[in-house]
Amino acid sequence: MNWLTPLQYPFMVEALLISVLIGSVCAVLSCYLVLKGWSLMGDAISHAVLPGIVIAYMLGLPLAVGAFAAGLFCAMATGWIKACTRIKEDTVMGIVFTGMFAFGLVLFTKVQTDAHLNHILFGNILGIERADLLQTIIAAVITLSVVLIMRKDLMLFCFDPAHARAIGLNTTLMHYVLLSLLSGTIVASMQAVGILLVVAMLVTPGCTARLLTDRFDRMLMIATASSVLASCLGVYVSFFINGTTGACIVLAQTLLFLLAFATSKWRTRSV
Amino acid sequence: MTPPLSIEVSNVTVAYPNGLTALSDATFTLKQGTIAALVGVNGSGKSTLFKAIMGFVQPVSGSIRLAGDTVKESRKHKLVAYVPQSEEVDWTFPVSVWDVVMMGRYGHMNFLRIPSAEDKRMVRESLARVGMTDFQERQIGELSGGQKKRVFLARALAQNGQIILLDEPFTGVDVTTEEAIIELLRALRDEGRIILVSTHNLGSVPEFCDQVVLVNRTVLAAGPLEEVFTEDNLSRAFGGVLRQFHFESSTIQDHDGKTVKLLTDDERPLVFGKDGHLEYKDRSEREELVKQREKIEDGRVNDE
Amino acid sequence: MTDLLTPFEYDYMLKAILVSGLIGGVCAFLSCFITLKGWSLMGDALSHAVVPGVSLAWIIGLPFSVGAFITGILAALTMGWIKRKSALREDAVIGVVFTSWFALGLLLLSLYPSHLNLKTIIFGNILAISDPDILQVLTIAGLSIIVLTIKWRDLLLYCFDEAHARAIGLNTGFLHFLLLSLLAATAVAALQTVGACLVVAMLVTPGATAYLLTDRFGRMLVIATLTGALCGITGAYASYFINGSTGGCIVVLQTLVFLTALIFAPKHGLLATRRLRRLATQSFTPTSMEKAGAAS
Repeated sequence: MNWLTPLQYPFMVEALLISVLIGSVCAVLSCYLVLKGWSLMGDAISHAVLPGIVIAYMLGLPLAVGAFAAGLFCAMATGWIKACTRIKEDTVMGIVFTGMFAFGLVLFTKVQTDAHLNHILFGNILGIERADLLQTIIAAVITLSVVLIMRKDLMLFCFDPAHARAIGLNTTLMHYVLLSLLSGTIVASMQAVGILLVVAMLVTPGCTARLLTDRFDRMLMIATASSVLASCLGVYVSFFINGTTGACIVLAQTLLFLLAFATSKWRTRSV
Repeated sequence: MTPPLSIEVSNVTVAYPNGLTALSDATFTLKQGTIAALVGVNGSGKSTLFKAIMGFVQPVSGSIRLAGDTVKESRKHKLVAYVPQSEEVDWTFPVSVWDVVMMGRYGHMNFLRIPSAEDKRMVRESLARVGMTDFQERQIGELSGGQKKRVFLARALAQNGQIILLDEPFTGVDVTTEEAIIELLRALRDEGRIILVSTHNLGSVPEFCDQVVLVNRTVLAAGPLEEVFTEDNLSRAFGGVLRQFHFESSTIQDHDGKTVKLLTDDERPLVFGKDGHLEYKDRSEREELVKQREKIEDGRVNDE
Repeated sequence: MTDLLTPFEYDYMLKAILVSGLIGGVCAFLSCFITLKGWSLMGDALSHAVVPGVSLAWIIGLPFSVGAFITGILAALTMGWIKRKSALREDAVIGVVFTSWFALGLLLLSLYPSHLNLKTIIFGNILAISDPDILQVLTIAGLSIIVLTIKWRDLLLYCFDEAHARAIGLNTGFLHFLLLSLLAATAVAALQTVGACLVVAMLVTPGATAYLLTDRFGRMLVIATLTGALCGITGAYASYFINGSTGGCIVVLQTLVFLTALIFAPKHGLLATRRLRRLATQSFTPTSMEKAGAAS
């Protein structure tokens, strides 16, 4: 077995291509989440999609549709409870997403579809089925194009919502657009890294890029580059060590983050 | 025998890790039984000075002595009490007025923090002193702005802090409460405590202070009110931030009875008379003080 | 009627019910501090960060709780360190660190399977808990209860007003670390009951429920602890009948109790606030007229 062996298998090539796609979608969105302070929101929505998936399975709908709806429901329920009570937002989010995840879990044990649970939780990029692959690609492409089209507006919304409203942007709409994009991204990356680790894909690249630059445009590029690199590296390494692919991708992300962290420290010290 | 109460700040420089020097070479001394105003614009280093006195930040150079001890040693005596700005407090926290004031006693309690009869007596007294006894069962969020301030002042009393630091105590407080608080501060001064009040509201300073510390990245001037609060010093401390309005003799006409009425919003205006002497409400009482002080200083000169 | 008592005839059910109740109570006690301090994300992070410790402890041959506790604390220290040394927001730093730790745990578990399998760690499996593990859980819970009963007033003061706590001579650095340690310890204890993904519910929901019901911290502690313990007991009991995940049942129950409090709480519930608002709008016109009249 040499270093090129993985590329001789069609499933590996496919997995590498998907990871490029998903890596870039997550990276672009992560820049917004990191600046907006929505890391926990990413974590919450990714767990909350579980009941949606189970219900969609029961109704015979595409899993992606159920997951997307559940993700949005979690975000909206959080916003609503936050507005009605004096409880802090992070607490509300913790309650809503764990409640939904637990509900999904109980529902799941009643429905008996054990084959898929591990794939949903931990991802299964090396063995994605055709139908799932199609859903993943559609979700990723739609999300990526919407973000790229609206990137200036979204940036303004994250940086200064009051100003965004003043110049006539519909900030409520932007809020839900960003939430939908988040749900869409989670649905897309669900098959690759699983819902338990998606949040890493949605936070780490943005942080890595933020350490290396002060410009938003450059941040988008660096985040995408590091995320794609990490995803490919993770898939590639997991082939050799035979470990969970999702975990390998996330650890590769961490490695790049640590490199960026060391570089930024070294740079500030030398200045 | 404990040494007399005092705050001695000498040549203190404070720098933050990000390289910003918040305060450089600050020096001033406050003696027992004074109310001092710490005056400066936002970002002038007022809160840094507070943090240094409470020991939250370590000066890069210089020293702070509280009653002769270093800040660290003085913490054993629970000497310093702090009344926070209203914005720093989480008013939805599920604690009652009584609970908050009792927190002032924690430093004096045993390991398990079970209040003794003495602790309860102190809390009751402190509440009575600020006139909040009737509100002791209220959750702290259910109070008005002035009542909230008084609760935290009661906590400082319960702590029996000899040096009391107040951070912007008069923002969001109506004039009646402001006067009540000033009254209380005067009583505390007469007991020999040192009260240091940070404020950017110039007009209220002459009403309650006898010492002033002017800061702008360093201590520009410190000393008795009459000496420090001059137009010259203030314009150095506030730069171009102050707005001026001169009443010339043409404005003050004989047919007005030689009086001019000033209207402002809730912040008190600062008024200088002819030759730059300060105008304020309780002048009659203060004239005595000024004369006394002059006598003492004359006496000192004669001694030398 | 006899059907309802069947769960108690099984030894393993009895153990599960009692352990769930105990852990539910301890977590709930701590949850009062976590919700007020705004550390929900930290609870979620530490409950994931303990996972690699389980695997490492198995490899070295230590009790799982020791390894899990150490990695939890290490994760917290890493977060603090990166936070201090960079300009990143705290939530982002927490996100990066805990997911890395968790991924490491998953990888280790896939490479070196331990006595607790992946599913147990992620979702908990209180029904199959072994006696040595029960002993570990009991020790952690006991220690946490002792520390909390001794130090709860100091922790309360630390959560409410850190500056004052320092001014009166409390060691706030120590209190911060104590709260983190308690968080890591209870996360370890709850790991086998509800699993890494749902521990945060035990550490947040009861506190928030109690916060809706009272304005006094003492009462909040009592209400939260009772809710947590009762939900633990009832959830474990109910899971026998619906034959579903025990952890899932406990957390669903806690969420339902929270929702009930959210709607019906006497002062801070939705119905109560709505009624107050209506009263305010109704009485607005006459009283303002009166005031105007009195002023003139």
